[in-house]
Amino acid sequence: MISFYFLSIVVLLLAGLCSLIRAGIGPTWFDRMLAANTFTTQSVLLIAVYFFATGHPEYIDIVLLYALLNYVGTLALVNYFNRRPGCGSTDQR
Amino acid sequence: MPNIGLINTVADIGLLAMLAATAVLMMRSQSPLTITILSGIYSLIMCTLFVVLDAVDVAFTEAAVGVGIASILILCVIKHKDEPNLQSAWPSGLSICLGLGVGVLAVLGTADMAMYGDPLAPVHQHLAPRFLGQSPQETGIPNVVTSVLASYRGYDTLGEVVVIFTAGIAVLLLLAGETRADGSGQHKVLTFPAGHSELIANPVLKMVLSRIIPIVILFALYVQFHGDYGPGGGFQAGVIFGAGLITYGLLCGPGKLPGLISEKGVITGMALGVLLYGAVGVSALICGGDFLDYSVLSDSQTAGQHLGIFLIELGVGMTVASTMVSLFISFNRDWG
Amino acid sequence: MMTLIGGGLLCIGACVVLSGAVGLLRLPDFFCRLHGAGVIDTLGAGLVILAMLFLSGSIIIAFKVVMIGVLLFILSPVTSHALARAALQSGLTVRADRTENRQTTGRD
Repeated sequence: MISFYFLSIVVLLLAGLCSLIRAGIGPTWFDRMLAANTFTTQSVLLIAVYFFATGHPEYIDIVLLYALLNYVGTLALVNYFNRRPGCGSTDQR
Repeated sequence: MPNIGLINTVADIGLLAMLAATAVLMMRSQSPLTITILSGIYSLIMCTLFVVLDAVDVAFTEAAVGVGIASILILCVIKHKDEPNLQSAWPSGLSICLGLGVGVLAVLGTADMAMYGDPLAPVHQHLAPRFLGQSPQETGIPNVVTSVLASYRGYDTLGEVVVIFTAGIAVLLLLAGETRADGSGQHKVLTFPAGHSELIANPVLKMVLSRIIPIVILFALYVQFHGDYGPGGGFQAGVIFGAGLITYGLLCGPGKLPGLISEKGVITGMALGVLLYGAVGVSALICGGDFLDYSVLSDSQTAGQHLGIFLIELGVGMTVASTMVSLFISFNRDWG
Repeated sequence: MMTLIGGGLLCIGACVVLSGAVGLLRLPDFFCRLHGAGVIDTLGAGLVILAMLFLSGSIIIAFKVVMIGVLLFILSPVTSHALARAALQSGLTVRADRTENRQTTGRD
């Protein structure tokens, strides 16, 4: 029973590592943002599985909060690009 | 459950390694936007670590602040400042030496600390048994974190609320004083950008987000009033409430937000929250107790504690939410 | 029986999430990588949440798990859509030639 949890937590950590690498190497801001978005989903699942593994599923409010507010960061970034049209098309290093 | 220790060890190692990797990536990055995105990931990893360390209330705060408000405020600052690039990628030799020295000192300092979870650690000798054993009887509230934060350490929390209030006022004052001379030598004041935001023109975003905002507000109220029983409380609820209103501002354009709530009302809310907190303390004095001793507020001790904690959490939530919204409003003015 | 089904779904869901993350890492450009993210946001998250529905003991936790599932299912595709639209509008182009992956737009 517990080993199911162990296996899925290890796999989710590896998946998080993949997203982190993508967020690190880019190459565009949109890749990084997509990776951060994916990382949020993976952390949500990881936290939820951890709560079930330790037998405290009543703390799942944190996961609900992440699921509810996940869009805010992406929305802010999209808004940023909308207000500055030239920003995405220049090669800024 | 015999395998929990193994899960904890693996999660600790994996998360700490990812945390260090994220920190190095942030240090090496040159673009403020990339750093903003990576700091969001950093906050997520921290939140997961707090969960693994069993600090659910701290993790809840980290989640609310990291996902709801931090990236928006950083992006507001980047947008406010015209030049979006950092110059130096690697720190100089002196700062590396200084940083390494402080790091070594910090690691040396941990040598005297008790091991994690050590039952003989000083904190577990007199404070923790006192709080864990007697706070449910004394305050009648199941969540010990809430009763410690709001009742036993009410002074501390009052200080935190005043810090948030002062910081908000300071930023508002800095931004209010800004003027810029245009070509004719006339000084212009910041005003809101005219017209709608582009996001509302996207039917998918308009359709979904306009229905999500009420749910966010409802969830904020749930966190506010459920803090006695589960993770959460005034700080987290204020941030979530603010994030709901800021979503409206992002969706319809920041200039539309003062139509929903008046700007003066938001700033009044900042002060009212602190005043409510202080008034609870003073009324405890008037009723014959100590400052912030809620037991005298009502007939029985637990009823008084319930009333006092409810009121001060309300004050905290008001101050935090109004500060977030007013910061967002004042950062999103344009040069008219 | 419930825990067995739940555990099996949990492992399958975690593996789907990993495959999506590998896709995010290996696919050649932004619009291809959206596919990997899509797998994680819908199938991976959906399977894990279904597993937690089997594993949750009480009705209130099951309700919260369903809420999480509904919110992830609605909000994740919307954010991906907004991101892809912003990328397209800011000048990131879709490349038909998959071996040539030299993007000049939007680099930081």
